[in-house]
Amino acid sequence: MIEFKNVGKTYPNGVVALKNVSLKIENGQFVAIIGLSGAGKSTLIRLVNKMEVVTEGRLVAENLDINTLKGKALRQYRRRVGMVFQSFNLINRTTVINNVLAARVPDMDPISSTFGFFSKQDKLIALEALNKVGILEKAYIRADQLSGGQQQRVALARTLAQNPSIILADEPVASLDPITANQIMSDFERINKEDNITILVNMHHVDLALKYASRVIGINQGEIVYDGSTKDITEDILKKIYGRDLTDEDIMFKDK
Amino acid sequence: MKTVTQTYNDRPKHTLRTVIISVIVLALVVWSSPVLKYSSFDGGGEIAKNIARAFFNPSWNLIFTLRVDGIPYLMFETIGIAVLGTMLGAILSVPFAFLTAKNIVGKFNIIGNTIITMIRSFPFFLVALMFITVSGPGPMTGVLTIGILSIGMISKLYIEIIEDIDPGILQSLDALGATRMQKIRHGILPQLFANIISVVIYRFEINVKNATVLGIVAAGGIGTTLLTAMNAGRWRDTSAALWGIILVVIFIDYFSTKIRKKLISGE
Ligand SMILES: Nc1ncnc2c1ncn2[C@@H]1O[C@H](COP(=O)(O)OP(=O)(O)OP(=O)(O)O)[C@@H](O)[C@H]1O
Ligand SMILES: [Mg+2]
Repeated sequence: MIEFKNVGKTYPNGVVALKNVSLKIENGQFVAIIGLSGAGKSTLIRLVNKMEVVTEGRLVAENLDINTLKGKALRQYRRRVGMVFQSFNLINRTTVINNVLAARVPDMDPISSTFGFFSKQDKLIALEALNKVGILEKAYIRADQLSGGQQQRVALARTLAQNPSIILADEPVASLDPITANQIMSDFERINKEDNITILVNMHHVDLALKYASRVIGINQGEIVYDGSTKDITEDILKKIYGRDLTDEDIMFKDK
Repeated sequence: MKTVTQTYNDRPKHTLRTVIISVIVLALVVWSSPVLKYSSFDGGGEIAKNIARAFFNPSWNLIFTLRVDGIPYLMFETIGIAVLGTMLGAILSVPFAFLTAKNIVGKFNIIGNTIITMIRSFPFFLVALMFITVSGPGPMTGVLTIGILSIGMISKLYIEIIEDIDPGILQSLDALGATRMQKIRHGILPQLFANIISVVIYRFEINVKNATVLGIVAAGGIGTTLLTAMNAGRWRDTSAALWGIILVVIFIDYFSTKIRKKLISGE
């Protein structure tokens, strides 16, 4: 479970990115966070694994007080929270499986980790993860020879290989074409159902968020303006989240 | 608003600059041409003919021998100097590069930059002659010369590689709970590795060519044999040495290009 208690975030330069956010996310939920650019979506997600620190209020996750978590305890907590980025963040000039194996590094002894000796078990975990996202046959190909969608799958497999209970995804499909974006979102959906992993995903595109998530959190200028089931979303609510009528920009599959 | 025609008419014109540059270039050519007049061409034609004839009939006994004054051994020594010199340069360049990369030291890169620029300005033979006074004639001097001079180029290329590091990968490793050491080992090194090897091989290719002429100042390698044979007019020996150099350089060029392509693009 992740719980935000009156959380605020002010960046060192004085920008107030989040104000008085209170949220409770149960295990196994699939939550989409939507809002305009600059609304605070990335900030919200990055607070969860302490890539950014909370400046007001309290954040509790996995029964840990995230505000005070640091050092080894923080690293151990991060082992359980996977993160996927818009820009994949793969090492291009090495193989797919080596990219996925990076997720095993923190659990390895210092000598094996320094020399890059991965155990058979670690390799099997990595291959298992690749299989789960349907690109097992690419395991020994260099990462830069894959398409964008395939690269994002490798990133997802890398996250799965750390066996997380929560996955955070910051605009994972924003740089992909609509069809690939849908495939990646189905991967998230499958992982959420099969492995009961909690998923928090930032989305630019309303239609994708509504299609895959069970819960939607709408943010406008750092404040939560909607938090509820996907089913209850109406035109009016979307207008409140976006502060304007929806435009083509906000929808991935335009009128068909 | 200006119209297209107006904008065209107002285009920046460099007439004066063009004239000045033309005059300077012309003056330089005129001023330096006497250099050519003073060199003597007497008998040059005859020598050239001899060389051409010997080229296809080298001293076979120098080529098919394993003696220490034979071509195979001398080429082996030449390559050895290049290998060790390149390795020395590749290692010495690491600290220089890290202390000069903008994304690591920011504005403090002036110091490293100055040193690298100085090294790049050293003339090749001057450095070799300097080292001869330190380590005496022989291959060791060749290794040191090549090592030091390689720093100029290798560290410059390392810097480009280091400044190209993708910080996103480090962020990913941060997010999955890696320590600082693990981030360097599994986030930075794999990004650098292929590029660094490629740079070092490229410089090795150049260093083999450098090492063939080092012998001219008695710093080891095949150059000494080449020079003495030429001075004595032993054209068939000269030709044998040239063949050794040509074959080795072609061989190394070919494989170096292949390996570097494989490393960078994976093809
Ligand atoms: N590291 C930072 N330092 C200072 N201000 C920041 C930083 N990161 C974000 N901000 C500011 O905080 C506000 C919220 O940013 P955030 O990145 O969370 O928005 P977002 O909803 O993810 O936007 P986008 O859809 O463009 O990614 C913005 O005004 C942004 O300029
Ligand atoms: Mg964002």
